[in-house]
Formats: sequence, structure tokens, C-alpha cells
Amino acid sequence: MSPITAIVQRNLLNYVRSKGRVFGALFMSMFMLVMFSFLMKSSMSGLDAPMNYLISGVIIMSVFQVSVNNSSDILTDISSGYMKEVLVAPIARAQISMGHILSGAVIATLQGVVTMICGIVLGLRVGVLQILLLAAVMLVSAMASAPSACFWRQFPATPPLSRPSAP
Amino acid sequence: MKAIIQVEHFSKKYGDFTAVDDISFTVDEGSIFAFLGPNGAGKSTTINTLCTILDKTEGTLTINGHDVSRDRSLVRKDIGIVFQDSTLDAQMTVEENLKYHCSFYKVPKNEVRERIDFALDLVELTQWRRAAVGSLSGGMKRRAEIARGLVHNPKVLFLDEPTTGLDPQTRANVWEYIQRLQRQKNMTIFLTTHYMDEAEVCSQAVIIDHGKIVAHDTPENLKHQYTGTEVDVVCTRTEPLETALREREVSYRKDGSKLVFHTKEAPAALEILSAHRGEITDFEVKNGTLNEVFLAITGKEIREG
Repeated sequence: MSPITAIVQRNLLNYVRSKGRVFGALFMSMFMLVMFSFLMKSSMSGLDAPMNYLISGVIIMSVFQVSVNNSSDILTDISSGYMKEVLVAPIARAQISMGHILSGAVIATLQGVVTMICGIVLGLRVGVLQILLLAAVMLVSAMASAPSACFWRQFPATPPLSRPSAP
Repeated sequence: MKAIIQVEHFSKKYGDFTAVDDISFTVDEGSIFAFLGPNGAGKSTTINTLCTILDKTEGTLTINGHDVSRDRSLVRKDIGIVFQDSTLDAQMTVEENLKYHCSFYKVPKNEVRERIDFALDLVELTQWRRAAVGSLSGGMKRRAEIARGLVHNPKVLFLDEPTTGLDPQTRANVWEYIQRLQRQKNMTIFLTTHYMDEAEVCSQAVIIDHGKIVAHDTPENLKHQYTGTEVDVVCTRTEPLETALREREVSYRKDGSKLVFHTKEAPAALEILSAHRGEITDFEVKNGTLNEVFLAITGKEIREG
């Protein structure tokens, strides 16, 4: 198993195991679907297929939200100390970042697909080609927003430059 | 013996503050090397630099011939580290922690199973392999961490205060594993600790204070150089012994029927004792310990660092 695969696998495993996060993300998507499709449909008069616009907006919002949320995995790793273990391993920094970006993107895209399926049930009208295009857009935007926590402070934190003077 | 770690004129500055100031030492392959010092003396800075997570300010540091600031990934392959604080993933099981560690270090697939079994067996965690790390006790976490540090067969194992916060039984066990490893695999062990009795097992000890090396020798030589022998004698009559001590210009302390004095070496005490054996009801001879060496060298005041 390559280091990138290992990081992706570990992050996915940890995500699946934290039931609260999985449930919270699903609940949020469902909530937004209901909120923005049924309740706001009336304000979208004059459009051909209002549901298509509303639901695709909800889908991309879910993707962004989940991938930005999951980028906090990196911060959790730093605060729990696990990042130290990864940093002293013979892996390039780029591989570590790539692992985190890919795992975040995979989770976010899956979440988007689930939202899309629910959307189809609720009235989203799309063809097979459009479904594939949607999935591709989801993956790209998830990968773009997943590294938002990669801009971490240089590790380890620099100790304070001035020390408290002795009384 | 071949030197596996070489440190020459290493300095590390944080802004104006000098954490490590021009230190040099070498560590022989297959030895246990103790790096001792009070809090804030520069121990962790040195370890972190050797482990490639900090950059040096000046000097040359090599591990197994590779420069720690240039050939980082080669150095990382050769070392295993047990940090001061836990660096395990609490959500994963012990086995998964070790498994991902093997992937990071590119352990051949067909050996992974065997090596994990060996490491877990060594630290007696085999029956806890499927338990989530978060549910383990502090001592078990520490042992799991040691198992992880050695599962990729490093040439040098760094242990940064591996026994802090452990009960005496676990501490004794941890040292047993460490010594067993050193014997079985000829692994070089580089350790820091605050428990001086634990450092007695090492073959070389360096004491560092305020970023400088203040002593570097074997524990025996250090004890010989910095401490003496304390003799406590309980006598029926103290006067004859007191006169004898005064004649030899040995200072002593009287505590009821007990006399306490110090000599450089134990045989010197034997001479005095045997001359007065008629009056002596009980005696105790205490050899110097590394703890006393440590206090003699670094002083007794508490550090703020």
C-alpha cells in the first residue's frame, strides 16, 4: 500500500467510524434539500425547471461544506500528535497533503452523490450524461476546497522568542 | 566500534534564545545512549533535530552516514521515534496504527503481519491488538507506541522520556523490552529520561545543561568522579570512632548513636570500620547514584524552562 493510499484509507475509516459526523453531514444535506427546494420553489416563478437550479445548488453546497469540514482532519491530527508520526515517516510532504485532499474529496463527492439521488427523488430532472458531469464537477470542486486546512503553520510551532524573565 | 550518530558543533537558536550551544558527541552502533538534563536544557531540541523535524542553526549531524538536514528521507527510514507525548491515532485499533505505520515505511507486504506480531508480542499487547487505542490505559498506549516505533526495524530508536507517567511495574517492563531489543537486534537506543536509575543501563551518558554538554562518560565513571560513598554507622560508643574520623580529617555528622560520613571509595571506609568493629552494632554503605551525579552537575534549583 502506497503512503497516499494508506492516508486515504485511514481517513475514510476514521470518517465512517465517527457516526456523528456521517449523520450530521447527511442531516444537513437533507435539511438544505427540503428548505431550498420546497420552501423556495414559489419564489422561482418564471423558470422552466426551478427544481433543477435549486437542487444542483444544494448539491454543490453540500459538497463544499463536507469537504471544508473534513479538511479539519489535518488540524485534528496536528493537535492529537498523530501528524508528528506522519511527518517523521519517510513520506514527502506533498504525499501527505495529497492523501488528505483525496480523502476529503472522496467523502465530499460521495455525499454529493447521495444528495443528488435524493434530489432526483424530489424532482431533479437530469439525464445520464448530466449525472456524470455533475459527479465530475463535484469531484473537482471538492478537491479544490479540501486542502483549505493544508495551509497549516510550519511544524512544529516556533517557541516564543522571548522567555518570561525570572522574578 | 562504529559510530552511528555523529553530532559536530551543533547549535540551535530560536530568535535570540540559544537552546543548544555548540555540542558535539558520537553514539556507537548497538549501544544504549542516555541524553540527560533538566527541563529546558535542550534535550528535545536535539532529538527533534536528529529526527528531521527541526532545522539546525549550525553544525553537522549525521545518522548512519546520512546528513539529517540534506538526506531527510534516508535518515527517516533508519530511525524510529517514541515521542514525549502520545502520537497514536486514538480512533484506530492498535493493529491498525501499526499497519499504517508499516505502509508509511514501505515494509514489504509479506513481512507486515509477522513484524506486527513480533512487536506486539514483545510489549505484551497481543490480546489488545483489536482494541481502539483511545480505550487503552496510559501504560498500554506507551507500549503500543514503542511497538510502533520498532516495527519497521529502525537502526536507531529514539525514546524521548518513554517512561514518564508510568507505574513502577510498567516502567520496569518497558526497560526490559528496550534492553531485550538492543541485545536481539543490535539496535542503537538514544534515550532521554528524568529517572536517573533508568539511565544506569546505558553504556554512555551525556548530561546537558543550558544547551551545553557538561559531562560525557560511562555511568560508572560519572559516579566515580562526582559522588563518594556514604557510610552510616550505629555504635554503642561513638567517641572512639569520632576520634578516628577526626584524625583522618573526615567530616562527619552525629545523629544520636549514629555517625554519618563520606569517603571517596568504599575500601577506605572498610579500614575505619574494621578497626572499630567491637563498638559497631549496625552499618550501611551507600554507593553514589546517577541521581546524585545529576544533582552535583546541574545544581538543585528548579528550572523554569
